[in-house]
Amino acid sequence: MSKLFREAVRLEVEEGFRHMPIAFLYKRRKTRVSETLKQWRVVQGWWKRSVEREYFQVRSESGTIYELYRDLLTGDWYLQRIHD
Amino acid sequence: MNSTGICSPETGICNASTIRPARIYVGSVGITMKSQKGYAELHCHSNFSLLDGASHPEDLVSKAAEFGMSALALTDHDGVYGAIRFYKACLKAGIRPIIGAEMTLQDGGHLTLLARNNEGYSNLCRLITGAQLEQEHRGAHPQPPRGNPVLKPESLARHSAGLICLSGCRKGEIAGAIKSGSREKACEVAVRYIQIFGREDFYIELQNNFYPEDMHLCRVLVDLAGSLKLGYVATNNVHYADRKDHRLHDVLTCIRNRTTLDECTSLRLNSEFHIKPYEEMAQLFREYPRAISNTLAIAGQCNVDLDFSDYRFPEFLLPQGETTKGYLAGLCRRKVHERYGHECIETGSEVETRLNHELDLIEKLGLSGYFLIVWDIMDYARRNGIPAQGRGSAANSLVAYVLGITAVDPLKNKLFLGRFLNEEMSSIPDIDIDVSTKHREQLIQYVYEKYGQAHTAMVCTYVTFQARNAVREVGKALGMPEGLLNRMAKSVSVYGAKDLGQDLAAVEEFLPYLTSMPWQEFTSICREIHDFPRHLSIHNGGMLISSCPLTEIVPLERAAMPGRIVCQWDKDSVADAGLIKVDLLGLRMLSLIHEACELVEEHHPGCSVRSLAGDNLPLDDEGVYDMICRGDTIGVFQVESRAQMQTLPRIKPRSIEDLTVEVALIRPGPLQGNMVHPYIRRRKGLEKVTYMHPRLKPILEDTLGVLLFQEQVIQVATAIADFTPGEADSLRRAMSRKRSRDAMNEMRQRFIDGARKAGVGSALAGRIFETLGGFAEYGFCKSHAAGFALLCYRSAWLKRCYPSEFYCALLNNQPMGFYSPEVIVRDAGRHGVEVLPVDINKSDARCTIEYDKACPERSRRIRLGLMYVKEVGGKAMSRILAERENSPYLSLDDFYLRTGLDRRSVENLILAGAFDYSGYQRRQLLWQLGILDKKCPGEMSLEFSDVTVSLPGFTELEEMKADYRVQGLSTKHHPVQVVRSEISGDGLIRSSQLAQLPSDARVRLAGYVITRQRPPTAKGFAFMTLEDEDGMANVIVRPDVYRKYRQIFKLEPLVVVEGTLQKGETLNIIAETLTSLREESERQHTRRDVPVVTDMNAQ
Repeated sequence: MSKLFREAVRLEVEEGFRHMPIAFLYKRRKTRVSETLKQWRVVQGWWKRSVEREYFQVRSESGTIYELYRDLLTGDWYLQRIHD
Repeated sequence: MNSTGICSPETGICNASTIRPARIYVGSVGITMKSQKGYAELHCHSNFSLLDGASHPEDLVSKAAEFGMSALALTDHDGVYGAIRFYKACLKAGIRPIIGAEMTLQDGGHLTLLARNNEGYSNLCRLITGAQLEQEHRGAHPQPPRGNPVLKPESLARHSAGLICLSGCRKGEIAGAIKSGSREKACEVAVRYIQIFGREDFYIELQNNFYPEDMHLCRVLVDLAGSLKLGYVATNNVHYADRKDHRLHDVLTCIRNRTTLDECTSLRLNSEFHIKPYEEMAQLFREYPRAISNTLAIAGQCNVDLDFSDYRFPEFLLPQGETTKGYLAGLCRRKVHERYGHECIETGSEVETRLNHELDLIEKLGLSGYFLIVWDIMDYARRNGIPAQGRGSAANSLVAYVLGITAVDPLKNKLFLGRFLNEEMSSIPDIDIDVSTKHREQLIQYVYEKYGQAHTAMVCTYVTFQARNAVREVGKALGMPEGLLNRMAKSVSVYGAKDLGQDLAAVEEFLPYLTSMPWQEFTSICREIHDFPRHLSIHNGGMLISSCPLTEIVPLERAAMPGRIVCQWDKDSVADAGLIKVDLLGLRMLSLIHEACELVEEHHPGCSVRSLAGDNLPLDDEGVYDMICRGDTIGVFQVESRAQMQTLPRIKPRSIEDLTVEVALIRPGPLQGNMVHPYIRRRKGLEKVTYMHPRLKPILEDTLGVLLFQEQVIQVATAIADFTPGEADSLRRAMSRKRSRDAMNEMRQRFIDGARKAGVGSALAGRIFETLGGFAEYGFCKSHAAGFALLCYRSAWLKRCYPSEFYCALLNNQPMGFYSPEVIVRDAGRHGVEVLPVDINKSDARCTIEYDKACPERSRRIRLGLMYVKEVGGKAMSRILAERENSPYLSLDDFYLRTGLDRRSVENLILAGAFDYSGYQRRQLLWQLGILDKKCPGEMSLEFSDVTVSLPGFTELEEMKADYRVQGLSTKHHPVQVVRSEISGDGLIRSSQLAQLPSDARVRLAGYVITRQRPPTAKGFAFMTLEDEDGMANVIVRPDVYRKYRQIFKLEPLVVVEGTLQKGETLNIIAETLTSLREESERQHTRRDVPVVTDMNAQ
């Protein structure tokens, strides 16, 4: 099961080398990243509304899997999905 | 890792004992691998991965050089189209070129192949050829659609030597199997490739383009490589040089899939498919450093030399005991009598001296066999009545003339051999042959049969993106409105897409669009797509003939034309690779002359015109020159353009030599070099003939001191700067082919230095060099002009002496020349040759002459052929003619039931007037057709005799519009004539009145636009030719007027011009305003509510 946020949730993220997420603040709790499972980039829609994002599927120390993305145009972080 | 950079056996990756050391090679490519720390991109698509790669090969190389790469591979889809350009660019940049291809497999999967050496390269060519031609052999479909090459595993096994195989991108079989969860299948596939290539030449390919599955895929692939003791290597599946180019790649994807960006489902996820530097790739593959180091190890093994100049033409089959030299010399000595008679070839004569000199030179250059092969082709043409003649610089050769390859006497015309052959030439001279278009295929088939399919192929050409198709296709991909794109495409006045933005911005109606963001994106992408190859086509004549099977050198593939095979290189690549080709160029004028002569012979018994219109035709008919001098030259070869027509009355050519000058004069070279007006003034005696240096007098005397021919460039360089013939020819080549500034500067310095040594001052030498430089790019060589002048005279002679036959043949050989058939039909009328509309009982497929022996006057009538009616194709015409053989068609019903043609074809025949003979008017016939269409053969007839309708006939305007819609011309009505009564106010004059008016008179004239030009050499001036019921009028549009009325100039079919009359040897209207006739009609009739003139082709 996973929870997909219709509107991604803005996050505060502690970044490491090359903006890799190390930890993030979700529901006022700091969640530490133990492993990056997937990493991908999306660059689309340049002809009308540009979308440029870098996604990370990470496993937290507690074992929950999160999908976060960093908006490459603004540098802001968002939470897109949580896998139970 | 061991010292070679390949993985060690202890890691389970690869057995070091089985692999070759990474050699430090300095071979023909002469490039040493710089260091073992670095990255070489081994999977790279250029824009020769048609509509998939978004960078020119040169741009990829330049980017790789910027990143300090020591090697780069080119792996376009199923081809090596860009290999030569890539190879040259790599050598220039000091990068080792690796030639490869990404092959498509039977299941659609991809496999990357790299050529280690020339054996591998040849195998790559064989594999590509097999994949491209494979489908041809699939039983049920002898000619399946092209463009879906498939590499069969069994072919791969046969031709794996010298190749290094990478397992492919995420579409590869192994990656695909892993993605679908079957590691076992992935393993099986890998084992299969190990069996084919061996462990040392098969690598697992890792890619990380930031796709969600990439990290996982790499992990599993490395694990698989380990378990099978295989090496692995990183590539980036490059599809463009820079990240920013991903936009262009998206647009190309849409064009390929015929969709828009909004609707396209196959766009790549991101912009990561660009060339990345070592640091970035090393970071991406930080867990697998060997994947990076192995790129260099593989690159170090690859060395392919793409210089094939050692390959020669096939040996000419000689009688036993003969040598090529002896046979050629013997042939020339036998045939020289036919050209010159016995008296001219005595010992020491000019003919004999020149012949011996040429034969020695030809042998020295190793070209005797080449001449014999070309002679054999021409001899076949002669024996089979195929009109053909050598063109271009070959006509400088006496041997070519004697052998019947060319038609111009090089001695009589004082043609300079050095332009064609000289001792220092580094490349083989092309002998180009013009062949009657109608017979060209026959000649091509002869060459195929003679030398075999494996040794013969046509050279390809690439249809590239230029301004018009870029506007349409890029705009469509971006979802721009189609109507607007069409209007823009028609409005552009530049050829190349790179200047498009600026050009369109000059049009007021487009300005609001072009300032918005999406349109700026549009113009930017149009600029980037400029010159990209779009698809492959057949070069209009180039044929490669090789002694070895061609598939060892270049892959072959099917062309669009059924049964036709082309090689994957265009003429430039073929030349750069050192290969020899023979150009068999279709020339419609030769077909026209041939057909016109046949018509004359058929209907004028005893008249042997064919021989007259050949080499034996006297070239001194005053009447013919009078006609040419009047500029009455529509349909006449090479002198029918508007610019030629304007020049002819001023130069007044009275001999074949004058025509040679005329043909060469109105060319971009002389125009750009400002040679035209000085020549005309000197010709008319208005200016003294002078020479920049006395040594130029003997060279330029015949052209009144003006540089007109390419040969003169060579001769001037020799006389002034003491260039050897080879150096002088190099100068000409440097000027004529994609000149580079550096090369030209170098040449200039050599020229000035040489001139100084030869006693010519630097300043003067510099001026002479500028004159040469200004001219050479688009000039003709004299030999070529002389050959064309002969055809010019012959066509003019036919037009004057046998106009019906001439116009009939002209209409049957369209498209050719400057004018559309409608203009030719009206020109025929002005010469007393009536063109009759299509008649279902009289028209043949092609146009015919309706001879009437009893009334010779009526013999000057041409019946339009069925081929002019749209939607009536070959099969329909055959059906019509076959049925008519039985009996004439009695009515529309009779025709419809007997031929069974589809309704659209019959409708067009009705609209073209093919059933006018029946006495029914066209609208009534269309009604009848509607009723007939409800009947099916064999069904019981249901007649409703009481259902009758009375329909009005077509008006003249409707009839003319119908004519244009279904056949592109009207034999009855002129577009201006049908609206004349509507626009008779406001002092509009007719073209026939111009001659009576004084110079500087103000005139307003309405006309149908038959030509519109804005040549780049005309400094912004534009020209149009208007035609009305009486004749034609030339209009000159100044740059400021053009800017104001550009859209009318470019788009309107019917125009009213207002301006001043300029009278001299020709009549011109200097335009001040241009109005569309539609607007004029509206203006004159706003109060009268009269229907106005609309688009000619509108319903």
